[in-house]
Amino acid sequence: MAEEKPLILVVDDDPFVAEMLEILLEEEGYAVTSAENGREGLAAFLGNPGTALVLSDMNMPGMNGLELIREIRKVNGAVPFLLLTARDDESCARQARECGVQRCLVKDENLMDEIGGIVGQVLHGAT
Amino acid sequence: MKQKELSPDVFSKDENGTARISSREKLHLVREKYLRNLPQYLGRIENLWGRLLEERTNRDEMRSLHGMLHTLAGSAPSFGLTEVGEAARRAETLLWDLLENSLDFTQGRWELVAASLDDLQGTFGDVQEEERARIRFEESTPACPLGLERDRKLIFLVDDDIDLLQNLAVQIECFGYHVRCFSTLAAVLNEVSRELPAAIVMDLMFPEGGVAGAEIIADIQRTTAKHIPVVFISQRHDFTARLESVRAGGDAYLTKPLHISRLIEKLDLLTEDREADPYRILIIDDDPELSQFYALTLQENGMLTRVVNDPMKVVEHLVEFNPELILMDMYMEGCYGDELAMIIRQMEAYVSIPIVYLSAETRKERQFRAMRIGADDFLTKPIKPEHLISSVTIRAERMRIIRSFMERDSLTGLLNHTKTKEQLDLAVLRARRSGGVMSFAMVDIDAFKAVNDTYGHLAGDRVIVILSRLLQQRLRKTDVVGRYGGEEFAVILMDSTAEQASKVMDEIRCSFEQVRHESDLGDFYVTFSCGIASFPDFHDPVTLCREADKALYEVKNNGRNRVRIRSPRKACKAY
Repeated sequence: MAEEKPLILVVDDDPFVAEMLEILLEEEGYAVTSAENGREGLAAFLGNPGTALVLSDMNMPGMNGLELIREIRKVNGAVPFLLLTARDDESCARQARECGVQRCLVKDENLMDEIGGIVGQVLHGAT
Repeated sequence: MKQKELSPDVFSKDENGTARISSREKLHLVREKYLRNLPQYLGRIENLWGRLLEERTNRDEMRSLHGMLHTLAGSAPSFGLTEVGEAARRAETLLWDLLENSLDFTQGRWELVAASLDDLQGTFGDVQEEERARIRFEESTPACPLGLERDRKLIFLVDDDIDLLQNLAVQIECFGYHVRCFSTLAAVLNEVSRELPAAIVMDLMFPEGGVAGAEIIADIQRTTAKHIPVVFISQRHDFTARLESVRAGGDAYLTKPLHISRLIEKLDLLTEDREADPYRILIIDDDPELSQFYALTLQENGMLTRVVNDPMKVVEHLVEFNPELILMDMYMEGCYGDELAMIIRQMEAYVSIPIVYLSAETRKERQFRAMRIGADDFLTKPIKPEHLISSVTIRAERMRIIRSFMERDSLTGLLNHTKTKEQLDLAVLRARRSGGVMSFAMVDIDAFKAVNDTYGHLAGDRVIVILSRLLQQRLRKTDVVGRYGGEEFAVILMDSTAEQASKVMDEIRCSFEQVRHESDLGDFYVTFSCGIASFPDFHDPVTLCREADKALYEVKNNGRNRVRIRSPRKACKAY
């Protein structure tokens, strides 16, 4: 039988980006849950304690990506967290690392090609 | 919030084939949806800006505008619209400065924002223009110009070994099939109730039991009106397993590790459209009613007939109708049957055509005389329709087999060298007459000697069979594929320019290089090189052959594994 697939939580308020990420990650053999903002993302994370990785946008209405990881770290210090940012911003990246973000990814034209590999690397390194 | 199901089977959600292909399609659809939504989104940005121009101090509206631009700056590059993203980013940054750094809202700053928004609309205009051009291009070139026009047959592949599933799916798809994968029996059962495949490739052992695959197939065959061809694949070599598979309605049983060539051979055979061409029978009899009766009897059994009542006119009918068998009266006005048989046999093209006499002649000695001259059978009138049918069918059938031995290569079943050249002559004639185009492609397997030396001749033969199947699968029925020499193939692509032919051959080349070949000494991959020359760039068959061969050798000398067109200009220069 197939092993159960690792579950990835995608949090992005842009439905197109979220859908694209879902498709790419499902192709890589992951199960994907998506949420539209930080608050929904937190609820989804708490509802799925087995989540293997969180991939979240930075800027979202309500609760942004950094606020989301702070909340998540209160209950889970280990789950890998990747932060998507619209721009390459060093101060934001530093802040993110301080919060326990594994990697900051810039949303650019390479994202589609690279996301599968990066998630694989992070998960592989984390286990 | 959307909750994705944790589905046990990797690909069954996918409607169109393997996950790999359909993900790309899905992504394409998301991108299209994104592009379709973008004008509306930009419209909302413009509206917000319009309101802001009227009420420049409304910071809430300014924040919303900033948020929208920010989102756009993030999503557009992800969908490959780098310039739109950059323009959005510039506008966003300007607004951010106004909002957060409390800069004065001077006229100059407003104008900068306005200009950046104009710029944004402009970049999107460019994108739309490009998209329109792309769609126009795609519509003007047929979606699958040549090779892929043939419907891809749908295969359900069922195995609980995910790695094998994925691997095998890719391999089978290389041969022009569409594959849908299932890792559980429940999933395939569910799918069969919605759509029937051309064939099912089914593992025998599942967690549910040692022959659970066979049990499910038995269920499926019971519930479907039509028999679905099934190939079982299994690690079990025992008799019981084979028996269960036969009882369940399996058509073939292959043991793992699988030889992909054997699996494809079975699938080709099982899913083949069995509409063979009807036999073409020429009936020569000076009795119009009787000949009509024979004709009707044979037609009712699916044969094509032509009746000739005047034996003097037989030659022109022969050439025009090109029969596979001649049914002839023994005694006719103006010309005896045995004389006519001699005339026919003296024509080179008809030296071996079966001739069956129909006659009231009962004297054995006359019958033997007729047979000596080259008749194949002697049927005595009155003849029962079923005798007529079986006699004609047996001989026509045998003739087809004999002819295929003469014209076809025994390993691959492709046309042999001589026959391929004949077909090339015909193709050039036809193109010349109709003012059309055609292309001739020479294909040569790269480093084939090394394959034979390393993996053995059997493995080498399998590579040749696989390439021949791939060529037949991916080309049209009207194209001609021949085995030109050891590892050399020739392809005649009718009504195709060099560019079209090159596109198709390159698709086949890409498929071929992905095929994993198995041997006792390990698995390996093989590539081929291809040279193309076209009519009317080159005017006659000899030149076409020579120039295609030159293109092929240019590829061979420049790294192999490519398709190259011989351009007429270059050929001139070479002399």
